[in-house]
Amino acid sequence: MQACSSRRKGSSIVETLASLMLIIAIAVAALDLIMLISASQINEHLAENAARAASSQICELDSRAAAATSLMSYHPSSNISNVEMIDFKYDPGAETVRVVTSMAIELPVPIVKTKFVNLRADAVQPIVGIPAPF
Amino acid sequence: MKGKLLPKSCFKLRSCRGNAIVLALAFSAFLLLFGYAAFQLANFFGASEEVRNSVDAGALNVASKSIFLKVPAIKPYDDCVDLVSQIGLTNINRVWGKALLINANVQSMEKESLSGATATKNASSAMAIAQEINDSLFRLLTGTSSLSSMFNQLGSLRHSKMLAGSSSVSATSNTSWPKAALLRGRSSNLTFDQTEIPPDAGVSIPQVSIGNEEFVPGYTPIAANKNFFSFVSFIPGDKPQLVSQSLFEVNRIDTNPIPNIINPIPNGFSATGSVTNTSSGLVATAFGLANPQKQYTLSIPHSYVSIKITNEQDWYVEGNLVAQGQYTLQPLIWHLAPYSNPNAFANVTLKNGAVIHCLARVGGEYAQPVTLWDVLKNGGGDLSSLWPPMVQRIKEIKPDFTANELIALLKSQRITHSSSQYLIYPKYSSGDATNPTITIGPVSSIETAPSFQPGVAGSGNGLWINPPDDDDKQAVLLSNPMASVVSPWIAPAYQPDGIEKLALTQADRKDNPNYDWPFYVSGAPEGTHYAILKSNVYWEPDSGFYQCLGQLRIAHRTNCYFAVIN
Repeated sequence: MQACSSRRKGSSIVETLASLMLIIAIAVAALDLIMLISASQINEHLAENAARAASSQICELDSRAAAATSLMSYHPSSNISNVEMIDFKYDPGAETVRVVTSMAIELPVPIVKTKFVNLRADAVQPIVGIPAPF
Repeated sequence: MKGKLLPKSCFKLRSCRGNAIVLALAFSAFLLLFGYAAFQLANFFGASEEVRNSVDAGALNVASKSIFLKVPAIKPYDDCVDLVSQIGLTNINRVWGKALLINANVQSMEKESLSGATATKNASSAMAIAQEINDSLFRLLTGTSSLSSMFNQLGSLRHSKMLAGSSSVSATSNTSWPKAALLRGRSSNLTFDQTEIPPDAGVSIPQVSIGNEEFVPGYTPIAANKNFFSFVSFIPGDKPQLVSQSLFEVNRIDTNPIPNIINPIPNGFSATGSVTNTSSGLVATAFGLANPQKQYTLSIPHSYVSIKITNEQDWYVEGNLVAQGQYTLQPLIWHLAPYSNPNAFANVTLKNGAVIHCLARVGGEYAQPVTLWDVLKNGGGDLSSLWPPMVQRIKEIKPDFTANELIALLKSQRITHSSSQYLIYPKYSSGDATNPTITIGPVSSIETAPSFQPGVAGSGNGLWINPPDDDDKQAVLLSNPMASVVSPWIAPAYQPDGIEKLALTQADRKDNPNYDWPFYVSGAPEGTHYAILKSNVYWEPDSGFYQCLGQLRIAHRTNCYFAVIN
């Protein structure tokens, strides 16, 4: 009777631990996923805003500076270690400006030894800063 | 059957085993399903935002590129064009500005009873042609095809990564995109000065002040000569930008038109785009405001004010008018000659039987050096009354022009023998006729030797005694060098649509600078002789439809009297 009771207790603990591990694993994965989705959206926003800022300038130099300033106005959180503009193309012929940003994310819980993830976002905007030609 | 029965509790224990696992698995499955749904939802919202951003960019591209939709200019608005001789959103306000000035001029002329037979027709034509250009541009800007291609030009560069596949955003083509007249009552891209409008025209243009400049208001109908004129709003310093749906909707030209204005040119454009290659069917609409970021002045760019000098000579013998003619802008000796033989003197027989030849030296008022200013000043009188109407008209070319600048121009222009007409006109260094420099120059047209009309007595003709030298002849034969060299657009041979009025009567000048004398062929001298130079100045306002904004005519008449008996 006693042996049966202790077996029962042990089994419950094992089951609970196994269940907890499963739930924790799912929760951790969900946490990482939420972090990734959230960071991805922030990155898209940053790229879009940088492209818009760049598009309202009159020359490439000002345009690039405006994009950089726009990016610098974002203050990364503890999980976002770095945001940078990895590509910039000012095309007066097509009258478009393209900004590509990269965001380094530190996952809350590393997955398979992957602690950092790089997200990339690009945005294209029409150049609106150039006055009409004669 | 022998067996050992297990206690009941053990049965219970066995039946409880795995409950936690089952629950955990079930919960995990629920979590996974919930997570998957949340992921899909987040993905959908993300994709939706991507589409919205893409459509925003597309709409901004439409608003930004709309200035490149242009139509050809029609005369007389060929002076409002850009470098490719076309009219678009950028310069349509120039067209309406010129039409407004022409109509204000005609309204002023009508109030002064100085409107010629063609003035009203010219004003109507100015309105009709401006409307024709406006309508062509309106059709182009409200058509979907051009705007769709502008939208797709940018949409093809953007992809919705969060939807299945790499889908690009493209314009919807099933309906026409609404247009709006935004920023009503705000500034247009046309600066102006109230003094460039004829003061008696009664045309009131509300001012929109920005900095030190006054702008014509946008989408605010302005009445002139029973017509209404509207301008597109473009705030200086602004750039093409996105606007809210609520702002756009209340300013749509189809649901909230501009009063009295047909086909107002829109400055607000909507664009609707959808994602292709997906079953999600994401559609978004965005609204953009155009702005060419270029300002002009309210003006008639290709126009001028003319100054003309006419010289007439009347020959009186014993109080009877015997001949009339014209003389040129240089001191020369004239005499009467018979029609049949211009080389001979015409004999005039007096009542006492004496026979005389009549001679006169006229054109003395143009003895060099003399400027246009001298010609006016030497006649005397209050010249200040001449400047306001002239300056007002020149302000229609360059709004900050002043009377002092006009006087300086008149002082700088020497009278040339070969030209009796001078133009005050703008010179442009830019191809789109902006930033004029007002200058003055002679119109050297072909001037034939003066032909005398038969006098009342029908006794004589005019003849050169000392004809112009070869150089003068050569200069006379040059045909309108201004029209081909200085400003190719000038057409000095205009069709006046105004009526001239006497602006100033100057003092008579007797025997100086012009004088006459008789040569008695036979008989006793009779009475006295003298010459009187009379000078009147006339002002003729014109509409500007045919370039000419007005003409100041300095009319000199030298009356030569012979055998005058008091």
